[in-house]
This record gives sequence, structure tokens and C-alpha cells, in this order.
Amino acid sequence: MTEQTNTAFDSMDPHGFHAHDAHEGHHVVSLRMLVGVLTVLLAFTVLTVAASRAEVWFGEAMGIVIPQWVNVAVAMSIAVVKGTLVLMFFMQLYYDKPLNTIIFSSCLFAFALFLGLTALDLGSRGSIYSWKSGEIIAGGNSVGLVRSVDGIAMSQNVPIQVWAKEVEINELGSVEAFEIEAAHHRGHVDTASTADVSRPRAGATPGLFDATEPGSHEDDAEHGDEAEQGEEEHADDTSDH
Amino acid sequence: MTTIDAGKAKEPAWEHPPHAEHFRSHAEEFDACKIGMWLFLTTEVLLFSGLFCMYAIFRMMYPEAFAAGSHHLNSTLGMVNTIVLLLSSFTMAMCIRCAQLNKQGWLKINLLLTVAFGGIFLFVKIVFEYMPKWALGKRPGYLFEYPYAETNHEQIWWSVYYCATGVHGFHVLVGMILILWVFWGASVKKKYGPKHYTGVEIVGLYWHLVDLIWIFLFPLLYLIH
Amino acid sequence: MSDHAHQGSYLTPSGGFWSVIWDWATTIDHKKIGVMYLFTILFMFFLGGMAAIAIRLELADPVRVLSDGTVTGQLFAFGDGVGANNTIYNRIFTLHGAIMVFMVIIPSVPASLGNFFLPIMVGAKDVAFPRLNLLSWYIYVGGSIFAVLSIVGGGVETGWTFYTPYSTTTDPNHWQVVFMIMAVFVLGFSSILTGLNFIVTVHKLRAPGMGWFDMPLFVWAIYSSAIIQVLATPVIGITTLLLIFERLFHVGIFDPSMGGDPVLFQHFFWFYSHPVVYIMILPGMGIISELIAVHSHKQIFGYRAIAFASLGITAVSFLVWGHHLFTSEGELAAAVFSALTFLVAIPTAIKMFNWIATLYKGSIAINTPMLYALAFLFLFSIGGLTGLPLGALATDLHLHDSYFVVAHFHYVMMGGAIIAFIGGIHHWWPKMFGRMYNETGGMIGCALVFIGFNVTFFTQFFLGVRGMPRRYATYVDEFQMLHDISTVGSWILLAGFLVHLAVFVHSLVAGKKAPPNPWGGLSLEWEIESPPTTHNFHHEPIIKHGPYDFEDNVPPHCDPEDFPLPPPIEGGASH
Repeated sequence: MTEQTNTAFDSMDPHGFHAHDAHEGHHVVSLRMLVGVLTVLLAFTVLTVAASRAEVWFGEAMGIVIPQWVNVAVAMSIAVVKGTLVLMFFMQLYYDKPLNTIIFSSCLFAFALFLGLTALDLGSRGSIYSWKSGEIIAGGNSVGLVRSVDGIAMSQNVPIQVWAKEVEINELGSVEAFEIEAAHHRGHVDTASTADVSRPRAGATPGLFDATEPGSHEDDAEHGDEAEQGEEEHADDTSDH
Repeated sequence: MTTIDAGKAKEPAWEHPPHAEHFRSHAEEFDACKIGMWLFLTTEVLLFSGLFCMYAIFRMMYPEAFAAGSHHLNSTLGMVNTIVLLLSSFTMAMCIRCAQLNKQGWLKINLLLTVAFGGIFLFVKIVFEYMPKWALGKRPGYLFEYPYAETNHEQIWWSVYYCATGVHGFHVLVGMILILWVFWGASVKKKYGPKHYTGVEIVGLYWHLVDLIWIFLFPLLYLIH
Repeated sequence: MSDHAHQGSYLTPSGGFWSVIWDWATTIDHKKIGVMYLFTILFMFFLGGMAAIAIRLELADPVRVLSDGTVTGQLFAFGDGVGANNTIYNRIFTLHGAIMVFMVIIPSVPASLGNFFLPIMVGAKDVAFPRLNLLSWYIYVGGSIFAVLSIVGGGVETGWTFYTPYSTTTDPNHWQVVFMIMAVFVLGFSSILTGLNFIVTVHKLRAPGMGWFDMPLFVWAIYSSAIIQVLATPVIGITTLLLIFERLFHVGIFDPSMGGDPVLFQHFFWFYSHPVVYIMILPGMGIISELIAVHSHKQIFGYRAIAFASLGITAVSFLVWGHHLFTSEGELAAAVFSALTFLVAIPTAIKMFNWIATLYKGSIAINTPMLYALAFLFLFSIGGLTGLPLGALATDLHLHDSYFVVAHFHYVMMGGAIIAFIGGIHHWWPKMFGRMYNETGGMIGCALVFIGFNVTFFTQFFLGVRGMPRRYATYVDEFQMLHDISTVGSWILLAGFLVHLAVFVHSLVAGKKAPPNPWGGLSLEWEIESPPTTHNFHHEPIIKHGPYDFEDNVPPHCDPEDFPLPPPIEGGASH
């Protein structure tokens, strides 16, 4: 069976009145083929259920523990085979033009991307953090990365900046000495924002509602109460993630 | 038809199948409808891909809950449902074949068989799976009330189970309605035959997809411990 | 066919008032459906734009919140106290975002200009499935009605991204949230059906003799965008469905207290919403290809490069969604997504360079479409380049959820997609409605839009870098001046759009009759009348030349003196 190369358009017969004479290339799947595919599908169904039960039986009766990935691999391979048979013979992709197969494969590709990258994210959470700063264990009984300088073990399970600070405090002897030293390195820090630099701070901006410039905020006195309410509300405002 | 033809038996509707005016031939319309249907099937697969992704992510996070949860599912019933859907897929493929070979009687029988199998699937699922579980408290998320749960996150397992099988069951129902529409076209309007069976083909593809999804859902939910 | 331009045109009314309404309501003519989409989309654009004006009014003065008794306060006085007003502000920006994204930009070019011109450009009588086309319009209207009902009922506070837990737990008046989410679900189907139609049309209904590389680049762009529509939109479908289950039945998949994961929602949401921005921009880029080639009357530079770049953008668009989640996803995934995000600049840059190369030595006509094309090149470049600090993980941690992001996406979505859309409307207006528009008015509108847009959004880059967060109704004093400038810009922008509206209304009422080919284009739509007849072509079109072969062909229906062919090169070399 071959399809005509251009079933869509024949300039001698633009409306296709005579196209059916060649059966338009539609393949009729034989009954034997359909029954055969059905039998294989049913067999595989029984097989996949038997395989999963056999695994449990092996575990209980004979004490052989089959690793989980075997169970997953067997079940999914059989499912893929069954699915491919349905696609190729019941949905007739095997006999169809390749465009339809390409269309279906592209959706499998999109699905694979979706699953793969989402699983990469949700499965690798904390992996880099734990590498940087030690194992994270619930409940706070940290075992974590052992770091010690000069034989003195430092606090486990802290970010590296804090650890470095502790080492330095230990070296200098006291926290006060550390602060003095730090002032030399950090320089003078402006805590107020300027027109060019915005520095985050906690709480309400001091004097936000006090300042009066010519021509603006004329009704400040009336708005006093509402402005105060605004301050409180703004401080409570949780940030939007 | 002219008066000369008046004495002949009326031609069946599919003998000179109409095709929409903007297509150049019936063959072109059939090809186009098929491509369009495959595109729609890809959208359905991607809809379910969200559910499969949700399954995979939560299985990765809570393997014990999923292992324990799948023990609550009866794999025999699952196997019965799988077999029922495979048989329905077979009868649907037979519908195409019957239309191509102008076996109108068998066409209608196979259409009804497909609907029947779909109905059995839904019946087994709702009556033997959903209802007993719901009564015992094996429910999704906030509604969970099962007192003998062995693991901490079993309600997530049930959420995944109900969402995945529920959306699939809805698609089975839609498929059954579409097949009944085709049946009406075949029996009342007698419009399907060897030269025109586009409707049967399109609905058949949808039904096969519903079966295909279940082929993957079944081992993931029932068989993987 | 006679030269009575309106005899049998698709716009000719078929009878009395009610029969015309019925004709349009049940039409399967892609041109009428395109026009219906166009007007519905422009109406929704107006609604979303009003919300934007309201946002900018609020932000003009951080102390003056929306219900303190001023004019703006009267309009939105829903309650006392700043808490209620933050609520109102949240609802307004959600309204703006949801309408603009789902009801305006996603359908804008494909559903209106695409529906109208894709079949004509490939030489077909209609799209592959005309009734599905009409269904997609009704689904669009249905989804929009859900959204409008939600808004009228008070609106939704969650932001257009519906992040959990906001969208699953906040807002005790919960039917509005469910309605808005259902609106998104329904609108997704409209998008899928449109995309499906276009893919099949391009594969099966091209005129004989029109190969893949004889199609105008607008068709390539719509085709690439249709692939994304078909592959990505179902994921937002399942996402909204699961969100509705979560909200109504609390199934717990996105709720950490039940073992669920809110970041899972973000992955689901952005797997669609990143490709969707390419659905928005690819058709716009297709329009730019047309505008630049036709209005500089020059062969497009690198046809195949642009065509394959469109497909390349489609492919890469599925790889990068995690860059919207940099601050909430795991670091390994963030690093991977950051690296992948840089890939998408490559095909985009290829297109930009090719357009500029097309302009070089072209005979550039200065008219509204060309001005919009030039504006696109400038604005989209800024938008794309400012995407780089956002795509780089390290800098994004500072810029995430700041006004820098707001400015970036407005530059690409509005400075890119909407600018291209308006340019396309002007370019094809004579063909669609058979009337010329006033060119001076159009250019004034373009200038106002361009200036207003830049004043509004360029300042927001600075706001963002300095720390102004997005979606905040108030801010510290230091940001006052920039916000004021931005608000004034929004008024200039509004003025520009009103000028365009006036020009279009004037054109429909009293515009000059349009010739079939006012711009000298070579693609198939310029061979038919303005406006086209119902069946588009009188006979199957015969493809004699490529869509941009300006050097060798006099455009149809045009005076050769208006569009002279370049002289042959000595020695017989080809151009």
C-alpha cells in the first residue's frame, strides 16, 4: 500500500471527485492484525500485574528484596510497549503520514522537559546549601561540617560568613576588638537613603509625614491621623513574593 | 438526481461525501481533520502531563506515603479496568475497519460495545473504588479522615489519586458522549461509509488517547510500590 | 470582476439590522471573525488601560491613597483606612495584568490580524476549521465575561500570577477568585483552537506552487507561535484546574501544611507563562518583517534565517521558565535555568540584525507603519537587553519583583508586541476596511505613544534598581519624583491612543477609499480588493514570485512609476 504522493491536490481533478477511485490511500488494518495487537496488549497487562505481585511475593516468601527501581523500570517499560502498540496500530500512526508522529513526539518532548526540569528543581533543594555549610538536620542536632581553626571547633551549621566572623573573633579575643577592627574595613556607613542610593531599613521612615515642602502636603494636619494609620499598616505589610 | 434515477435505490449519504468548500477535495479535508485531531490530542497529553508531573514530584518527596497508598488500591480491579479499556480500544479500531468495509451493522454494534466498555470502566471505578474508599475516609487533602494511615503524608497520595483518575474519568465520559454522537450519525443519518468516515476516525483517535492515558496511569498508581 | 470595490466585499451588509447581526454572530468567514476579535481585543485593551491609568494615579503620590475623598478617591472608595486601599490597589493591578495578558496580548495578533490574513497570505479561502474558529471567538467572549464578572464583583487581589497561597487562601469573598481562574481556563481553549487551526491551515491549505519558503514571514511567525499555543496552553489549563480543586476542596497539593508545595504551582504556572510571552511576541515580529520589507520596498535580508529563528525561539522558549522562579527555586535549578535563558537571545538577535540589514539601502517610506516598525526595533532592543540582568541569576536576586522587572516586561510586551500590533493595524487597515486613515494623525499618534511610553517606563528602570518593589501602593519619599514623571508619561501615552482612536473612527466614517495596494506590497493580500470579497480570491492564486521580490516585480495594482524597479546591474549579476 502506498499513498499517492499528493492526495491533497490533483490539478486535473481539483475537487477530488475521482480521488476515491484509488481508495485515497487509506489503509484498512486487517482483522488478524487488530486481534493480534489486542492479544499482545492483554498479555502484557497480565504480565505487568504478575510482575508487580511477583516482586512482593519474592520479598515476603523468599526474602529476596528487589530494589525499587527494578519495579519502576519493569512497569514503565511494559507501559511504554503497550502505549506504542496502541499508538501505532490502533491509532494507525504506523500507516499514517509522518507529520502526525512528529506532532505527537513533540508533545512528549515538551512533557519530558516539564517533568525533567521541575524534578531537577524540586529534587535538588538544599543540595548546594548543604555543600556550602554542612548537613542540615531537622531538630537542630547538627552534625554537619567540622570546621576548626587552631584546634578549636567552631559552630557547626552556619553560613560561611558567620563562621569566618567567629574565627576572627576567636583570633582577636573579644567581640569588642572585632567591632573596632571591622569599622576600619567597612568604612563609614550612611544609614539614611539619599537621592541616588536607597538603603533598606526597618520600621517607618522617620519624618516621612513631617516634612513639608513648598506647595506639597498642604493638608498634612488633616491627614495626620490617616497618615499614622498608614505608617502602621505599611510596617505590617508583608512583602510580596 | 434526475427523474431517470428516480427508480434506483437512494444512494447512501457517504457515496458522494460533501466536503467543506475551502478544501479542494474530500481527501484533503480528511487529512486536515486528522492533523487537527492529533494536535488536539497533544493538548490533551500535555494536560495530563501536569498530573503525571505532580505524581512524579510528590512520589519523589514522599515515597513511603506513595508506597503505602498504592497498597490501598486493588490491582485486580485496576487490571479489570485496564482490560476493559483495551477491549474498548479494540472495538473502536474495529469501528474504523467496519466503516471502511461498509459493514454498517457491525459498525453500530462496535460503537455501542465501546460505549458499554466505557460505562463498565466508570461503573467499576465509581462503585468499587471511589465509593468504598470515600466512605472509609480515604479522601484528598483536607477531607482526609482515614484513622489507620501508616504514613504522614497519605492525604497527598489521595489527592494525586483522585485528581488524576478523576480528570481521566471525566475524559472517559466525554469520550462516551462523542461516541454516542457518532452512533447517532451512523444509525440515524447513515452518513459513514468507505468514502467518508472522518467522524468515526476523529472520535476513535480521542478514545484511543483515553485508553493510552490509562495504560500509563494504571502501573503508576496501582503497581509501583 | 467589476471595479465596484464594495460589491460582494465581506463587509457588505446582507439585509436589515437583525439579519446583519445574525450574519456576524454565525459567520464562519475568517475575516469577519478576525474583525470581531479585533474590536473585542481593543475594547479589553481599553479596560486594561484604564486600570493602568488608575495604577499610575495612585502611584503619583504615595500619601494620597485611593479613598481619601479626592476625585480618584470617590471612584474607588470602598472602605476606610490604608488596609482597604491596599486591597483596592491589589485588585486594580491584578485586573490590569490579567486583562492585558490573557485577554489582550495573547490573542491580539494571532486572533485578529492572523485570522484575517493568514489564509489570504497562503492563498486559501478560509482557515482549515472555520466553525472551530467561530467557536474560539465565543470561548474568548465567554472567558472574558467570567473575568468581567469577577472584576465587577469586586475583583481579585492575587496578582495575575495567582501564586499560592494567596490564590488559595486569601480573599474571603472567594467566588471572584474562582471566576477569574475559570476565565483563564476558558480563555486557554480559545488560544488552543486558534493555534490548531493555523497549524493545519499552513500545512494543508497553501495554494499550489506556494512552498514553505514562499510564504510571507508573517505566516512563519504565526505558525511558530501556534506551535507554542498548542503545546504550552494545556499546562495552564491543568494548573488552573488544580488551583480550583485546591481552592474549593483544599486537596493540599500546593499547601505545605498538607505536604504540598507552593513552588510546584510556580513551576506549573510558568511552564506555560514563559512560552506565552513568545506567543505574544512572535506574531509581532512577523508583523515587523512585513512592515520593514514593504515600507522600505526591499527584499528581506535573510529570509530563511528569520524563518528558522522563529522556530528556534519556539524551541528555546520551553527551556527557560525557571527564570521567573529564581528567588523561590533551588539553587542548582536556578543556575541551570539562568544558563539556558541566555540562549533565547540568539535567535532574537538574528532577527533584529536582519531587519536592520533590510532597511539598509531600502527606499524607506515614512508613514505610520514604518514609524511603528522603527519604534519596535528601538523599544524591543531595550526590552531584550534589560532582560539580561534579569536572566543572570546573581543580578536577578536584587532585581526580582522590583520595578526593573515591570519596566522590562512593559518594554517587551508593550514596546514590542503592542507597538507591532498597532503598526500592523495601520498597515492592513486599508485592506481590512477599504478606507485609508489620516497619515498625519497616525504619525502624531505614533509620536505621542512613543514619547509617552518611554517617559512612563524608562524611569521605572531607575526605580527598580534603587529598590522600589512592584505591586506596592505606597513608597518612600525618595521615589516620588520618578513616579511623578512616570505618571505624566502615562497620560501622554493615553493621549496617543486617543489620537489613534480618533483617526480610526474618522477613517471608518469619512476616510478616503483605499486602493487594493496602497503600500506596494507583494504578498497575496495585496492582489485582491480592499476590502476583500467573501471568498478572498476570484480564482486560485498563481504564485509567480516570492513575497519580498521587490527588485524584480512591480507590485500588483500599482503604477510602475510609483514603485520603479532598480536598474539592471552591469554584467547581468542578480541583485
